Amino acid sequence: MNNEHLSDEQIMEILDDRSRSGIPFLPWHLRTCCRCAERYRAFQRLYEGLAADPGFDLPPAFVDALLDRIPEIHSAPTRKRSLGLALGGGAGALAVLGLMALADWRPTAAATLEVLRTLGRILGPLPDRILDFLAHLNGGAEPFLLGGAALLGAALLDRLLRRRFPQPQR
Amino acid sequence: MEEIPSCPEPSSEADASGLLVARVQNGDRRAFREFIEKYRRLVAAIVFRMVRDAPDREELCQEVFLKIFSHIGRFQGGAAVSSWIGRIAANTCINHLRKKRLPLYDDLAAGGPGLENVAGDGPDPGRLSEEADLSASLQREIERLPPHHRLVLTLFHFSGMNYEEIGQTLKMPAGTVKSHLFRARTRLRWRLQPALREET
Repeated sequence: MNNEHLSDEQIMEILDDRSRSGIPFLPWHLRTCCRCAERYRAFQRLYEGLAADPGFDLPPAFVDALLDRIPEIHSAPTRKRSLGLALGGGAGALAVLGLMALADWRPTAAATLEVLRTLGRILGPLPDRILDFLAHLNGGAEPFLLGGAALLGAALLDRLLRRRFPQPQR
Repeated sequence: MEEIPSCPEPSSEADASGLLVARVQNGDRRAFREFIEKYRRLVAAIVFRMVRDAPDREELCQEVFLKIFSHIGRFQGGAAVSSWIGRIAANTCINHLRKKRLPLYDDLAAGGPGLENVAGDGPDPGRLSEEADLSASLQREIERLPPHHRLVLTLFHFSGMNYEEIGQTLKMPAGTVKSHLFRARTRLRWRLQPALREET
């Protein structure tokens, strides 16, 4: 058992720990020494006073005046973004037009067309092949289609619920 | 021995605050009003403690909320909402004091006055024993503290920030925050000694 009296700093450390961590630790000395217990109680009262609402408040019109200024925050970035997009788009279009005027684009255009034609040849029969496959299954595809639709529905419902009842961010 | 509340923000309160923040982040207009109503006293406590000029106070409170709303999209919820608000309010006040060339650390030169110097600085502590209302006396004595002591006390006890969070806000080590807190409380305890003893 320690019979040394606690310093003010030690008492404040105990109270700080208790108010932050909630650990109800009290040194044995504090339980047995009336002098330290009295100082502890005085600090405890001081802490309670410091944590109490000091009673400062703003006029009732404060909230409305502030809410009137809030659109400034939300519209300003949107306006900035729109302006940025318009300027960027315009600059991009001008650059493309300039390049087209200066360079000969015919070989590039021909090559692009060839690539597109090749893709068309590959992907063209794909829908027919899928239909053939489904016909081949002879009704066995229904569970897959129903399952897919159910998953899609669940995802949509989840998105709707998240919008309506947002989760707190941790 | 009398118990004190152990946790400044219980988990259900933290959940409610997080939900309110999420609604504000989603642009819910009603949530903005609720948010201001909920935290106006916290913001007012910090601003009123730090700034003495009455016309500046309301404008600064508005500035704090406008900053909060413009940055709320980035709030991740790692800290308590009240701590985050406390940090923004404290920084806004510090910037205001700097702009106005008002001192924040007005007695920190050469380590500040020792506690032994405080005795002759204020009214006779015996006089305080006549005051029945400890709370009123406390508020008045807090007003007589240097601004940085008022700020650390408000951030720790009213905003619920810990030493580290206050240190990050005020750009000082946690140990220095602790020392300011101890010094400020010891001054208050000394000045309010009769009243504190009377109530025990």
